[in-house]
Amino acid sequence: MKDRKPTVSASGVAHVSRRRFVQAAGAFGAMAGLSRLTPSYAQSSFGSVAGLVDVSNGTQAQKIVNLAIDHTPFGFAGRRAVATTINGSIPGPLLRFREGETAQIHVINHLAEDTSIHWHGLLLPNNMDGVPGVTFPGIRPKETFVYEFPLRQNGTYWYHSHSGMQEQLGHYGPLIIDPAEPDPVAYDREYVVMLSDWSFENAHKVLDNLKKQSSYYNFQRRTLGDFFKDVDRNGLRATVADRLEWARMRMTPTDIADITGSTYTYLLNGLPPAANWTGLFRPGERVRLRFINASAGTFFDVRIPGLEMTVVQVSGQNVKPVATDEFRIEIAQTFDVIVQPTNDQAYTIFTESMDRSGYARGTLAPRAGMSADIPHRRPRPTLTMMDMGMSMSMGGHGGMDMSGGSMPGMDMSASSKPPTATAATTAPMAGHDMASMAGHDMAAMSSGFTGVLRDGTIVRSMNLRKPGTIPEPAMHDSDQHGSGNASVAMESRSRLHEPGAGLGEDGWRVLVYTDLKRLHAAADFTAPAREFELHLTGNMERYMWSINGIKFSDAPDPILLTHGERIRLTIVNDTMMAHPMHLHGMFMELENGHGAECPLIHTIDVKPAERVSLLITPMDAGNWAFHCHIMLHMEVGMFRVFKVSEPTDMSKKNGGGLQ
Amino acid sequence: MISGKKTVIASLLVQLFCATGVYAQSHAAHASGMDADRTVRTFVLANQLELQTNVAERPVNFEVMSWIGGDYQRLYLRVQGVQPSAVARDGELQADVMFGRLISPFFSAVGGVRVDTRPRARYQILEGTTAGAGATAGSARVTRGMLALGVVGLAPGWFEVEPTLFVSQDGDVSAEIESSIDLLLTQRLILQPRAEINAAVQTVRAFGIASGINDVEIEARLRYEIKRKFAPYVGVSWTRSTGGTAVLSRSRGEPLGVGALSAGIRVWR
Repeated sequence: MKDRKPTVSASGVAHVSRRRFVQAAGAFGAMAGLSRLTPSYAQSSFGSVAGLVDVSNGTQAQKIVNLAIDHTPFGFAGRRAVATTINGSIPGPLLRFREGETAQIHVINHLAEDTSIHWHGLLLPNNMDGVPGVTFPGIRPKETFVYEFPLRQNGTYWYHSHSGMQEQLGHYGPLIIDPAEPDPVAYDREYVVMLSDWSFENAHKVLDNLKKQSSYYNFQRRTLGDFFKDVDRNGLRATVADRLEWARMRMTPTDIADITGSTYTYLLNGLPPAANWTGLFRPGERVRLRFINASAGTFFDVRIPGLEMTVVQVSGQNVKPVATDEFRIEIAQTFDVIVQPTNDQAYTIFTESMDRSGYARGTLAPRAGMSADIPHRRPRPTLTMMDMGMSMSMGGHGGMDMSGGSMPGMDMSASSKPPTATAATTAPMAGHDMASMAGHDMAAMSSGFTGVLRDGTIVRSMNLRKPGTIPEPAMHDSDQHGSGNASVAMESRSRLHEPGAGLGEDGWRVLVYTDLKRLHAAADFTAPAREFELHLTGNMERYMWSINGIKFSDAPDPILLTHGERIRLTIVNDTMMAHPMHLHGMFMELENGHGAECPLIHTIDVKPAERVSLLITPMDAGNWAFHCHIMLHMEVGMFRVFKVSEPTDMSKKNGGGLQ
Repeated sequence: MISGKKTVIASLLVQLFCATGVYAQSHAAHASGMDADRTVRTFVLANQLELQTNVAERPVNFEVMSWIGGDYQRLYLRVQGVQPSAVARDGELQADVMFGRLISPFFSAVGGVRVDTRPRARYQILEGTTAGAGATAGSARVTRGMLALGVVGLAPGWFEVEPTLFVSQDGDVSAEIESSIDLLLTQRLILQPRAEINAAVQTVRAFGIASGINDVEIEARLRYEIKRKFAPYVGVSWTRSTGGTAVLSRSRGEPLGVGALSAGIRVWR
């Protein structure tokens, strides 16, 4: 992102009408007689060109938006429930601003419980970030909270509740900030494609069910029939060995998604597949699709059979255009793609859930009422031994003999560190408290060990590798992260070049993280001074999710970062599930091997047994949340807070590379 | 079904357990923000709730497990028993109340108390000579309290296990180990083989228990999960007394091995 001051735009022309955005006069949601909550921008029609229904008003420099959070009846296919809505629609209204403006957003809470809005991916003052208990107390019933912040960036973003389970119930919406300078992306027409998941079950009940049986919603587990099929394919010996290995680990290779199509209906712009959301185009037009995954628990694999997609933006940040046929959009991520349909025909936007238990679907068509074939869903993927973090470089590290079935990294018998040992400590942290060196001797020898924070985070400040490079594979140290963690990745390594479970073998291109380069290389791409290594942990048996084996309520002290400091955030996934990790308040530069062209992202999909590193330069002081964006994982404790110090004369001089 | 003072204690324990649950749940409703991951939950599983059919009678058999607690610490209540028929009131029952703590990813250590109550074992052959004493031997039932210590968890291979060691109020030591596994024939049709072994250090004649391994129970239940929480099933079971316990059984004129068919429902919440 370019260096932009939060100044007020002087021009302030009626920029909205410049684009042929999707407008009101809603035809399709009503036509299908289904969800009546579809907001106007998500309905499709040619209609008037100027008519983006804008909920905002105000001067050129300051946009005032009013949002009301309320309970609204919602349903489809003959079923009804009560949703939590923003201005009565699912998704909530499209908020559209221009870079340089100041947004003033009045949020009134008509619910009987607290609410909040978090502006996902936006750089803003800490008290505007909207995380109850971390940046503000939340918005009480009947109370109005006024968010006001300058828009220091541009791109496709979204906003959602950070309170309880409201995000699952419809409390989300898209947010677009048009660039102050000419948009480097050329397009004739644009649509927001907001993906989400909906359940008629009470969200608290869903969590309760998972806590008591973690496979509750998984109806794709391996059965006796699968056993015989595998015997046919791989032989008896290999199949039995495979089953024994998974049984010994007490893990399920079909554990791709916690909550599945057995209770979820997948929505595209608030509509179920049968309602067929349709976006119209004229053949030959360049259509910009702004994909946003607002799901509470679903990764989607997105493709439009017959159309090549050119990815131009990820996380709201422009990237060098990359052509692809399919991409996986993790929860909370945004992808902007350009498609250019030239034929006079309909195309299906097919977004399959990662576990293949369902899909959301829409259509791009030259005329209303058209549809194209809906592809068959592919077989559900299964995890492999690689997802377990088995060593791929046997012999290379010496002494890691797995042949006898003894795997040092996989010993689950005893916990060396009871998790509550850290819970009792409430003394204020003076600088970084290096609590313990026990159990980290391996890390110490390999890469300039500095210490371990009380919450288990490893901090290093020596021998850090070159910025922008991909991390080397690393063996796990002896810390098993306690009884709240079922296993560790014996060897973690970069998987940025992999498309992810169930992708890449269909004969078409699939986007991978290593394809992404930011549009303009960073002017100032300095080396990190410190590295923070966090391990994603969990125990599926009890549906426990945590960081470093310690859930948030047991590690309430924030991790301290210095304003303007260059930091490497290394995330190691010791679990068998992919986790979309989101950092508030700052972008992360994904170290995918492209040096100063590393892409800027606000959310990273960390695959099982993956080691991924990101550079950050915290510039806004305050407490910033870092958490898994699978809503229930966050809810049960996969959450941390980074506290960025107030700027000092020294730090002001050092920082400023990014924001 | 149950009688005697100690039965009252058992029922009080159950009530205390339930009250704790109600309190915990109402308390949990207020959890928010930082404490959202500390929610206290209540789990009740009737793994067996069935009518059996064997050569002699049609007993009712039940095994209910429940817990209240969070991720690391839970209060467990286990109740298992059998009575000779649906209307009979002279069956046997074991009720455990135990505190458990997660000590490794898949195992909790548990400790607490058990109340064991059952009809007094009558020995026709041996006691026939002291008929007078036998007639004054008190109530028709015997009940004992025990301290319990064990683990509950998931062993490698997906075996649910809960070995428990007991010391009775009279100092008698016994042990119970049971294990079961769920085998998926289809996504909803699930076969659950189960085995249980009981053993004792001392002979306790009134309970029909002799030193050594007392009995072995092997069962299999085939359930269909109409809902995850509601599954009717059919099953087969076979129980055999062994060693000294078998001798005691024989002396009571009871069969050493009993096979049975069963039908029931497995429910949880």
